[in-house]
Amino acid sequence: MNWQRAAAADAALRAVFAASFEPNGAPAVPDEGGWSGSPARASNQPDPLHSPDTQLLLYARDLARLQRLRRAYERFLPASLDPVAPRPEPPAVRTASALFTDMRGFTGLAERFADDPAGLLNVVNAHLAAVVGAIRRCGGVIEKFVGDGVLATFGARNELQDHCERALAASFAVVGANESLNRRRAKEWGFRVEVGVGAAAGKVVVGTVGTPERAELGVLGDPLNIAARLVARAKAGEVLLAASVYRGAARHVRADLFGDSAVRGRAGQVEIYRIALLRHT
Amino acid sequence: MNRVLIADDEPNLRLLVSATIASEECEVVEAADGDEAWALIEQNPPRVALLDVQMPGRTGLELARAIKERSDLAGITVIMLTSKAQQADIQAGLAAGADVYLTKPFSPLELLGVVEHALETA
Repeated sequence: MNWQRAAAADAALRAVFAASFEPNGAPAVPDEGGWSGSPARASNQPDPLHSPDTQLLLYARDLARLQRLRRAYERFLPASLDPVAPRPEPPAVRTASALFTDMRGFTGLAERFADDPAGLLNVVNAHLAAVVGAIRRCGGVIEKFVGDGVLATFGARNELQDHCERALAASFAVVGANESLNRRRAKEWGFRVEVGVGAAAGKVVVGTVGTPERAELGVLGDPLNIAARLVARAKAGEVLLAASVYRGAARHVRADLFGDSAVRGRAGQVEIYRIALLRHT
Repeated sequence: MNRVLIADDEPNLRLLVSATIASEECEVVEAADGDEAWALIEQNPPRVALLDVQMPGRTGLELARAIKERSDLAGITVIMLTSKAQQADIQAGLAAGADVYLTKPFSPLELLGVVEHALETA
């Protein structure tokens, strides 16, 4: 009867809808073995597993599973990926800013947690949560976690005219968010967590990096290497900026010229600016 | 919750200032012009008002005067944050009622110190 089919379709769609929003939502649909506890049927009865209504429910079940898989994997991918229509992207060259963060004194921290590595993970994740929130608030894309640090880009995956200002703002926000974390947890932990930041701007390419069997949508370019070198030299609460990113925001913010410096692995010199955001640095 | 108002017509300046001073103990509200800033001030007075001088609508100087003329807004610390850096500009700002006069480009550490001090003593 039409009303029964309509009711089944309605139930199936409601189940999919619920599963899309509930973290552990599972639609009330049969698994491969059919409904558990289904009554036995006579051989001359139509097979309910192959009825249109059951097929609709099975379709709803598969759709809900895909939704759950999507949710599970989305957190491992950059936010800018389109989960609805993932496709190989042609390489795109853009002018963008790259930002690296890195915990200072991590080796000593790891030693402190030598007998409790799970405790170390809790501290690192609390720090990373603060860092990621700060970067996202400024419009950055989290590209990857590098140990206890974060690589983020501004304007690599989408055009951003003000990528320098956003990267600079994110640098400040990262240090500020880490300070808030210290105010909240340092007493309980018995130690402070420190962070340094490095940032640079220039041309980058966004494209598929890897092999046909294993690949990722990655970002490559000189600014990423420079930012990585700068963060290695940044002290606690300090932001080291390549002139390429600082010049984009110099009319707003004052920085100290740190000097022209060679960056390991590069032939050319980099003009570096320094901004201290903690009084003790 | 400490409330800080940033009034500036440049979105990126607001972003940079907000990123510098934001914390879990501080709520930042933003206004893109002087009239919007005044509406926010009257609606829910902030502890600190960071004002650009040249903005569409009311100027930062007009806002400072208006704040200082109202006894119910006496608790607001007015900080000018402007690119007008001549001695005469600074004198005009202080005469209008600014408690602190900072110039752009600003030093993030100096700005953070001034705002934190204002919030501690408010």
